[in-house]
Amino acid sequence: MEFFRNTNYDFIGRGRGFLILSALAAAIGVLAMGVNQLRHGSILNYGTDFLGGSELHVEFAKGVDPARIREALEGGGYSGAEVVSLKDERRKHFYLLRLSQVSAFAKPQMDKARAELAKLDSKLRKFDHPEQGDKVFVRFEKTIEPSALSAAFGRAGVAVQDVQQFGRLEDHAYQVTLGGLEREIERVFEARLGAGAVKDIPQVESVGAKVGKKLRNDGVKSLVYTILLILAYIWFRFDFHFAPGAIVAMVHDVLMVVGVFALFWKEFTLQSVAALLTIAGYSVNDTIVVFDRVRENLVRLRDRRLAVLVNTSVNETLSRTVLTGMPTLFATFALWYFTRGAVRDFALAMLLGVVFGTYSSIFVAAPIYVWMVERFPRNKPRV
Amino acid sequence: MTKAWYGRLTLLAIATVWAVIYLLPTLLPAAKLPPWFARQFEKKIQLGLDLQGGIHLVYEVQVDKAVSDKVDRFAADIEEKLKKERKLAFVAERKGRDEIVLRTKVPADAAKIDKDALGEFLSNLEEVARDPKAGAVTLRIDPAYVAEVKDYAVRQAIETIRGRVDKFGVAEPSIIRRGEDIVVELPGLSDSDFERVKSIIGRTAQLEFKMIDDEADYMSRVAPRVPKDDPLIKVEVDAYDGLQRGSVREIALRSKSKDAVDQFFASLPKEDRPPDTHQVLYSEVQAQDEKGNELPDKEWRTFYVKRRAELTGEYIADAQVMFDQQTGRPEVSIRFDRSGAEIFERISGENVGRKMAIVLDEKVNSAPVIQSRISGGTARITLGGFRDPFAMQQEAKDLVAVLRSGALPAPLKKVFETQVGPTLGRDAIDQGTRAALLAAAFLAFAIIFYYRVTGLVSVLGVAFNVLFVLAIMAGFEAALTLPGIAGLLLTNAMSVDSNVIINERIREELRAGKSPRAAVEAGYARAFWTIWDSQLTTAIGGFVLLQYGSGPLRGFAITLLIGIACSVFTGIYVTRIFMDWIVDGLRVQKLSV
Repeated sequence: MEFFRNTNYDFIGRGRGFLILSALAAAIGVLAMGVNQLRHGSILNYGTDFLGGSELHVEFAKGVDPARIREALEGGGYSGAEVVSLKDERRKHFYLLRLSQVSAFAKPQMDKARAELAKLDSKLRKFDHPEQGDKVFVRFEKTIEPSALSAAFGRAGVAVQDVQQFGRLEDHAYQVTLGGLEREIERVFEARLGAGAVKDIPQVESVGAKVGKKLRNDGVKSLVYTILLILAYIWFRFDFHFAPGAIVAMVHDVLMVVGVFALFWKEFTLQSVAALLTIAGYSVNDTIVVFDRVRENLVRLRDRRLAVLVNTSVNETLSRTVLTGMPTLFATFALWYFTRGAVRDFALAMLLGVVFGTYSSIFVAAPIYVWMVERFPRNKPRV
Repeated sequence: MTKAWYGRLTLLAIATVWAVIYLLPTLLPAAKLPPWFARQFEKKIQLGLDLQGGIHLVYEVQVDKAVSDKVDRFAADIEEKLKKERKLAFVAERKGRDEIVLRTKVPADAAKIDKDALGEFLSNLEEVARDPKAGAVTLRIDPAYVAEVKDYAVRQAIETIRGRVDKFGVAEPSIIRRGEDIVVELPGLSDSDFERVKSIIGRTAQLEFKMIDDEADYMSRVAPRVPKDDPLIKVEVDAYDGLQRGSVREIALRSKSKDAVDQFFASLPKEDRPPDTHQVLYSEVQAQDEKGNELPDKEWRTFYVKRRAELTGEYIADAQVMFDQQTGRPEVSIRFDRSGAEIFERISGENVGRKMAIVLDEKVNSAPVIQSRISGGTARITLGGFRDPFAMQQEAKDLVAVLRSGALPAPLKKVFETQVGPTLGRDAIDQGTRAALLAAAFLAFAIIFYYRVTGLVSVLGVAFNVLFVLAIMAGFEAALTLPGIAGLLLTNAMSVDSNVIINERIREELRAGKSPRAAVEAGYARAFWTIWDSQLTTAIGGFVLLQYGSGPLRGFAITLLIGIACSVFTGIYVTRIFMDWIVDGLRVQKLSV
């Protein structure tokens, strides 16, 4: 059995069109990041791994499947929660929950609360909310009733546990302890898992990110070095004209997947990073095989025009490109189709990566190579 | 078949047996394996936190210690600066956690300690009291700066813990901050490994060099209070050659029980306890009989030292395991950075003939007499005791790891330890496994359908690839996590790719009219460089990640590199054995590809 025998599709001739298409798609991705920056305050929907959040210890009245807990949280607007069973001698159905954003203390809501406070009779002189803290410090020009303060927070959807005046009386400074997270979570579970589902929430604390600054810097540094080394290797093993095509194709594939994450505001986690690394690997691997054939044909089909030669090479390797791509595509598709939650997002990234990785070898890397040779013609005759 | 072919087959057989042996502990519970086997091969693939869960530890960073250390440092710096610049005779001492008291020898000199003299120190310290009669000035550390020091201590502790855990090779721990606490989650480890990791994490690794004060009369005042017939505590007088200082007597207490000595000091009236400027530290030494011969028992010996550290582990540039020339015992050699070496040279020059205590985590490691000014900036830490040399080697290695990753800026206290379940959830894992098996079955079917007999060989090659990758991962005790599985998926796709590339080549050669044998020969030869280049380019990313990445990125890199090595081996070498057998052994006229 055989597909694609002696095909001669004109890939390079239509190259420009596909390059424009890719550039457009990339532009949409970048645009989506820009819009996210404006709408949500960050270009991607970074998860707890990157931002930190809060950690709750929850004891349930009876055994609940972790999957149900996650679903209930998702339904209540707390997506991307980490649910882990905890072993404890005194508590039976005990779970640790890590939530990405702490709804009551999240920035958009705090901004809203600030706007509400500004509407009060007395002028708001200071509004201080330490990052992820459960306390807000406010200062007014005149004395203000604690109940009025609570009400203003309430209008912004932020529950207040306690309001206390502090400092000198003439400072009119108040410490507002935000409540809510436990109660909000409890309410979510009661609504979705039945009344009395939660027995106790003994601990609520804010937690930092798993990915510290160092880890993030390491990742960026690795990326830069990888690109440089791959450039150098291709230059050494092939020649200078090949290198940019492979790198652009790789960056293209990663950018496309990140773009999809940005466009659909999908949660971006440590696992997404692993998926991106995998995609980069797949992309380069796929491109090199096509380039390898071009390199071979530069000797074998020396008399052809370059565009024709490259096109022939792509056609010759088409069978292999598709044959390798299809099973991988199917494997990631199965992973995507049969799973939910974190694994599903991961599989989606991989699935997109395989599609773009295969596409870019043919429609991005090859035309860029042709363009490079035409733009920077070699001095010596081809060998 | 040729002799070389049998050689290759034998190698494959050996590799396969080896792989199966390494994988058995992972696949079967230890109880099902013969005991001798389970003892010999205990390494297995660990499932990561996301797939299996693990142990959840909460450490409290004792930030107050970091603050008091900082205040100590300020006291030392002020003393040095004012003595040098203003030629003032005074001592600087810490009082409580936040305050420094400067006491001049001549009370009138206190007036000379003004804003101008203190200079830059006043950006973090403020003057809170001044007693011109007694010649005392009290400074207090700025509360905002205290908060900064605390925050820095926690952040630094996280980095240090991460470095240590990474050095130990635990794949993919999770380390997060929770206020002043640090939550560390480790994937399933064997009990002994887990204990070792815990001791490495919790070790302060605070290395300090402190001077022994043999001039103070404190010990000679206190020692006579030990009852003559005390069953536990003995008084020792160590006379040593103090070079130009002549013969020096150092008085110390010795006991089998550290608690007994502690209790003795605690029983003293308040005015006879060690002053704030000094402290009593212990060292674990070999017991001696009356004639001074060493006994196998251990004893504790006291050292009366100046509380302030002259030099700390902060200045360490590198640490290495070395062996003592005479005894052959492992020891740790440390090298200071430039400023550390300068300080070391200065203090050794100023204290010739005195004993300096090398203190590791509040325990005196050794206390040599300084013979001369020491330049070069190296020091040795000996490992005491007659013990199993292997255990000592292990200890030396762990010590090097903690010294290199730096001391914790403050001690840690473990406040909570429990087991946690997988972060991905059982359901997700089951679904994922089902999907992966389904995909693998489809993949095998598709390849065999497309390439027939050659396809079968390819599937066999990929199966060998999976076997070898998993076996090597077991050998490294690598942890398998979702990112790791992504790496596996990628390398398996690449393994399939190698086979596809070879098969396509063979087809082309057959089409060009070659015999099956020649086509296989040419197909492999020409596909080799294609596979080599494509795999190596991908491996570059893995090497870089291994070098610069930390935590989860490293785990991914390791899986990727193992996978690439195996897929090149199975793609080029293993499948060739079967293909050669088909065209050479079976002598097929028409190759089914």
